[in-house]
Amino acid sequence: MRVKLYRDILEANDIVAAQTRRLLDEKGIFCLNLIGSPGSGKTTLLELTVEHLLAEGRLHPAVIEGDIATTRDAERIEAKGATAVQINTEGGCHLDAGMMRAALEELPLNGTDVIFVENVGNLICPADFDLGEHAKVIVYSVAEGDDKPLKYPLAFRRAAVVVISKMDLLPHVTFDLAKVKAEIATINPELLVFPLSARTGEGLGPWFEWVCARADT
Amino acid sequence: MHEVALAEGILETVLKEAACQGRGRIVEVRVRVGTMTHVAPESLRFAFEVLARDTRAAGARLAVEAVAPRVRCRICGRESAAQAHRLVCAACGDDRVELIAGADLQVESFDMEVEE
Repeated sequence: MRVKLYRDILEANDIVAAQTRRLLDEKGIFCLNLIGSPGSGKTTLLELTVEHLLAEGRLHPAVIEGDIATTRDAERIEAKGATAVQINTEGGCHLDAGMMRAALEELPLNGTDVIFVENVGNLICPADFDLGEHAKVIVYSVAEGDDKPLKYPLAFRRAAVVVISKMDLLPHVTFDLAKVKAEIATINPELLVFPLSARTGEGLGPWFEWVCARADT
Repeated sequence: MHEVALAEGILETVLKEAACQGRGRIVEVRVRVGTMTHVAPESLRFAFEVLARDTRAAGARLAVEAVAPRVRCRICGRESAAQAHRLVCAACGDDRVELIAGADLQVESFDMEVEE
């Protein structure tokens, strides 16, 4: 007997993700899911972003750190003065909606305006898993080679923003920014690109402005 | 890359559905996997086979249909095949398209024995 289903394998995940998104909307919280290769600069970008938001004083940030092991990243964020919750997947290559929901229960949602989720360092699996965020942000450093959009099109298709990080290294690496932007455009023409350097401060302004503008709506 | 988690999802889905359908063994499960998901069919089959032991899907064949990217153009309305890194309408060339296939992770159907 044949039973026809046409059911998404990740349906259970997506149901939880949708519930999470509804909860975040009810609380007026803007949520970003940062994905990128290990060492792309996600944590450093979050340290600077959180510092900026706390200094400005208008939007209160919180961070959910996802990693296979250690609490290093959450400690770095807390050192900047923001609340951070660490999820250790202990081998899992991505965060899922269930882990996200559990982490949210440890955050003071009232009084939080923006939640940044730093996903496990990986450009493949996090693209498949909706956590309940409002947008995915890819952090992609110039030291990773300029063929990543070609190799990981699904991640670039599903993201709203790509931060091209470590721009201060551009003179020392092979990275054709114009080519990368052109390739990104054939995968996702609506993807916003923010080239920046955490080290020099170049390009941080537009990124901060985008975060604040989205968090305000 | 997370084929075990996906295999768990497939197994859970079919076992739950089969529970409403009678008492026979599940003999084949058909899934559609978009090529853009980077899921390796062989790893998925292996993970499923291992997880299904000691369940009513033990020994069931997991048939994986690879689904290539297809887009629907928001400007001219036509559907066409596309490459993963070049999601544009083959008819009019516009890049304002919906991705309608290629990222699928779906349990399409399964076959079970009917026990008298």
